Amino acid sequence: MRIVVLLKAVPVVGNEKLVDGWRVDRSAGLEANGNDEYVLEAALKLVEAHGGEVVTLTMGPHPALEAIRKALAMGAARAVQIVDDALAGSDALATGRVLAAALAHLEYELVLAGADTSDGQGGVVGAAIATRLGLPYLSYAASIEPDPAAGIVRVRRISPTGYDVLEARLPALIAGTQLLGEPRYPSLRGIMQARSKEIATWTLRDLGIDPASVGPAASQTVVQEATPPPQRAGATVVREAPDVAVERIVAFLVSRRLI
Amino acid sequence: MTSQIPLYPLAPVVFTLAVIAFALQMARHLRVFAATRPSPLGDRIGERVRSLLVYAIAQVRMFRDPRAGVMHAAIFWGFVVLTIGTANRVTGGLVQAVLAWPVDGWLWRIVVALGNLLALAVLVAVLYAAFRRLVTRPARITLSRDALLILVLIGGIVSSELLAEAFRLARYGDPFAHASLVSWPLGQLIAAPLAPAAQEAILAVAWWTNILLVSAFLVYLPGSKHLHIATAFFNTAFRKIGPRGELPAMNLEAETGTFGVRAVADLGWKDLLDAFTCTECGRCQAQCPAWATGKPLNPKTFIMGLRQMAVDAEVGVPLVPGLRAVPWVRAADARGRLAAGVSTEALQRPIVDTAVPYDAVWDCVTCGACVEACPVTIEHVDKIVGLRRNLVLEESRFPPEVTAAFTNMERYGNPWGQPRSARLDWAKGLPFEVPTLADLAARPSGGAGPGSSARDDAPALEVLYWVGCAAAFDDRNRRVARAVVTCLHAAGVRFAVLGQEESCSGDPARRMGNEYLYQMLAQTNVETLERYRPPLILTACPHCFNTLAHEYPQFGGRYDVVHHSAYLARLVAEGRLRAVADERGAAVPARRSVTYHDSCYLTRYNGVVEEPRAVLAAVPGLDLREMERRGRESFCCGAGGGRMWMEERRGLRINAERTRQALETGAEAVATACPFCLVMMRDGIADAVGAGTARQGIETIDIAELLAAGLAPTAGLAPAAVRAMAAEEGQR
Repeated sequence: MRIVVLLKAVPVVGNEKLVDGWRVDRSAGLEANGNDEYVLEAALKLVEAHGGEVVTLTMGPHPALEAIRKALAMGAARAVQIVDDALAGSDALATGRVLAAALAHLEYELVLAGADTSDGQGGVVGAAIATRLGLPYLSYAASIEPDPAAGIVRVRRISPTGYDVLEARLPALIAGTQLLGEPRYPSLRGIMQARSKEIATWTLRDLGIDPASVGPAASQTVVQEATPPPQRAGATVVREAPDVAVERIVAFLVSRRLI
Repeated sequence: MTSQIPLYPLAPVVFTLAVIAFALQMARHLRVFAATRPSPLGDRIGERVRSLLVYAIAQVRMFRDPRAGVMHAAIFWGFVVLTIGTANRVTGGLVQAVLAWPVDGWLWRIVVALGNLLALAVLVAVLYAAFRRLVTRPARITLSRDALLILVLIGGIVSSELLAEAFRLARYGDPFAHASLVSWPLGQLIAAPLAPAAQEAILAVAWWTNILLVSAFLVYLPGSKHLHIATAFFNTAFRKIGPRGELPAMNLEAETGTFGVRAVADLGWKDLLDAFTCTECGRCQAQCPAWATGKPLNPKTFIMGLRQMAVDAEVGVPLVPGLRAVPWVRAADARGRLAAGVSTEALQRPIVDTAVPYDAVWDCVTCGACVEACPVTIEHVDKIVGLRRNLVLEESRFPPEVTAAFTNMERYGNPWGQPRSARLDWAKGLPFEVPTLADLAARPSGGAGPGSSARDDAPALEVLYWVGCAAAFDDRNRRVARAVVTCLHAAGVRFAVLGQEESCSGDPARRMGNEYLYQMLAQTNVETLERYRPPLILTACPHCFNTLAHEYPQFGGRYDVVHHSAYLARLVAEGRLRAVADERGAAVPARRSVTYHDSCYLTRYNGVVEEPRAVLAAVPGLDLREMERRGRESFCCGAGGGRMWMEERRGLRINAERTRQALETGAEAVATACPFCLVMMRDGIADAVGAGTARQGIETIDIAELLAAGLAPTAGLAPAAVRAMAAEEGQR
C-alpha cells in the first residue's frame, strides 16, 4: 500500500508572526502541523500492517525541512518538498492546484491530509485536491480501514450524532483528526536513518505550473486584515478539597451555560 | 606444630587446591567482565586512596546503622587478624617464626592476643547477625540459605580455631601460651582434665575441621553474595569519583553499538563489579522512596538481578581455561580471548524485565538515596538512566505522558509548553527593573564609547540569574523568582537574566533517558552562555544547578554556578541582606515553627546542607523543626528524575509519604529550596488537608520568600509591598 501524506510546516503555536501585516512568517521556527502528524501516524501504522511505504508531500519554503526530517525520523520512506519563491502568499485554491500537480507525479492508493492546519485553518485544501484529481474525499476520519485486495477503504467519520461509516474505492483522499491516535516519538535510530533518506525538491517548473498562476497576485482570496488573538484571561485555579472543588467547577461551568 | 597434627602435610595441599578453585572461579567471572564495555579507570589516585580509607577500611557508611556497624567491624577485623593464624597453620608455622623474631616475640604475642579477643568478638557478632536474620528480621535483609551458610562457616572457622588452639596448648604447651587470652584458659578449663590421647584426638578433629572449613569457604565464596570480601576493596578503588550528579557522557554520533544499556554486554565492567560486590544488605532498599511507597522498584534486587544475568552468561564456560584463552599470549586481543566462550545469548538478553521490571525503571526518582546508603559504593542511578536511554533512544518506549514533556521541551524550550515570549511574565509589575543580558549588551555603558562591545560591560555584572522553567512558567514558582530578585535588588546586587534566550537546562530530558534532546538543549544553552560569559550563574533550581555546574562541562561550558540557598546565605553573612521583620511584617516577630525539606539534587548530590538552614536562621521568629530524614539522608519529594512529568500510578504517592514525615514535626510551614519540591509538598499538604490528616493553613514556602518578606524596609522593597504582591499572585 502506497500512501502519500500531505505535510504542512506551520509556525510553533503561540510563536506566530506576520510579515507585511498579513502573511504568516515562515522564515524560521516551523514544525509539522499537529493534525498532519496524526494522519502520518495512521499512515505508518497502515504500512506496518499492510506493507508498502509512506511518502510525505510538502509545499513550503526551506525552513520546512525540519518538519520533514521529523516525519522521516518517525518512519516515512522519503519526502517531496515543493519549493519556489513564487509560491509565498498562495491561497488555498492555488495550494490545492500545486499539490494536485505534484500528486500526478506520485504513485499511491491513499492520500492522507490533516483536517486543517493550525495557521490557516481553512480546511479546504484536501477537498480542493480531491476535486481536481477526481478522488473520493472522506473527511474527519476517526479510523481508516483499507482493504487493498478489494480496492476499497472504509472510514469512520465523526458526525454530530456519532460516527458515519463511509466506504470508497481506492485511490482516495482522506482528511483525518486527532482521533486517529497519538503520533509516535521518533527514536534516535529513526533520526539517524532519516539523515540518509531522500528529500526530493521540486519547483514550479518541474511541475509545469506557470509562476504567474500562483502567489498572492493570482489568489482568489485576499487577506484584508490580520490581528493576533486577544490574550487569554487569567486561569482560575481551584485548590479546595475534592467535594468543594467539584461544586465550584460545576457552578463555573453552569454560569457559562457549558453544562 | 607439624608433628602435633596427624596427616599435616596434606593441609597445605588441601588449602592450595581451595585457593586454585577460588582463583579459577574468579577468573571465570572476569571473563564476563571482558565481554562488557570498558569503564573509566583510575584517575585521581589521591581521592581514590582517601575513599579506600573512608569506605573500605573505616567503613563509615556501616555505622549509620550503629549496631550493624559494630557487628560488621568485629567480623571484618576478626577476619583480617585470623587470616594471619590461618596463614601460619598452612605454612607450618612460618608466619610465627617471622613475627616472633622482633622485640623478643612481643609482636607475635600481640597478634595472638588480638586474634583471640577478635575471635570472641566475631562469635558474638555472628550470633547477633543470626539473631537479626532469624528473630528481629529487619525488612531490608534477605533471609537466604546463602546468608545462613556463610554465618555457619564463619562461626565454625572461628570456634574450631579457638578449640584447636585450646587443646594444642593444653596438650603440648607453647612459649606464647599466655598470649592466647581465650584459648589458653579455655584449654585449662575443658582440655586439661582429659587424658592426653583424648586431647590429641579432639585437637586433630578441631584442627582439620578448621582447615576444611577455611577451604570450603574459599571454594564457596565466588558463588556467594558474601563475595564482597574479595571485591569491595576494588569496587571502592574504582568507584565513581567527581560530581555525583554528573551522568556519563554519551556519543550520539556513533553509528554502531547500542544507545544506552539494553543488555549485560552494554554495561561497563565496573557495573558488573558493582553487581558482584552487592551483599544484599538492603540499605538501598530501606532508603528508596519508590520501594517505601509500594512500587515495584527495588534497587537491591535490581543489582542482584544484574549479577544473576552475569552468572548466567558463564554457563558453559569451562572452569579450567584452555591455553587459547590465556591472555598473556598476545596482550592486544586479550579481552577478546578472555571473553571467548561466554554465552552471547545471555549477554544480549534485555535487562529490562529480566533483572528489573519495566515499570520499575520508570519509578526511579534518581534521588540517589540508594547510592548514598550503599556501604560498598554501588552506583544504581546511572544504570537506571542507562536503561532509560536505551528505551527512549532505540525503542521509543516510555510512559505516554512523557511524550508531551519531550515535545514541549523540543518546541518551546520548556516542559510546560508555554511560549518563549512568556518567559519574563513573572517579572511584570515589579517596582524595579529586571534587565536581560541582551538589554545590557545593547545599552551604551557609562564610560565606554558607542563602539564598546558587550564584553566591556561584563565587569559591571555580578550575577546572571538563571530563572529556570519552573520559576518562569509555574504560577506558584513565579513568586519564588520575584522573591529571589527582590533579595538581589535589596542587597544591591548587579544582576541580569537571559529572558527569552534561556531554555530548559535539559535535566528532566537527560534523567528520563532522552539524551538526544538533552544534548540539543545543553548545546543551545552553552552557546548562549558563551556569548555572554557571565561571572557567576545563580539559580534557585537544584536541577538546573546540578546540570549547569557538573554536566555542561561535557559540552565545553564551564561556569561558576551557585544555588540561591548558598548565595543568599552569603549575602546575609556579608551583611548585604538583613531581615528585620518576620514574613508577616511584624518587627517583633511571633515565633513560628518551620521544617525544612532537603532537595536531593541540592543536598545529596551537591552536599549543600547548612546554607539553606543559614538562610532560615536569618529570618526572625522562625523555629526550625527538623525531620528525621534530612540532609544527605533526605527523602525525595517524588519529582526527581523527570517524575515531575509522569503520572504516579503505582503504590502510595511519594509526596504523600514525605508530607506525612513533614507533618510529624508539627511545624506550621514547610520550607523548600527547589521548585519541584515546592510544588510536590504543596500538593501533598493540600491532599492531606482534603483527607483530613492535616489542618488548614500549613504553608509550603521557598527559603527566598521567607527571607524576602522580612527584609529591612530601607533596603529596596518594603515587606508590605512584597506581601501585596504575594497576595495578588495568590488570588490568580
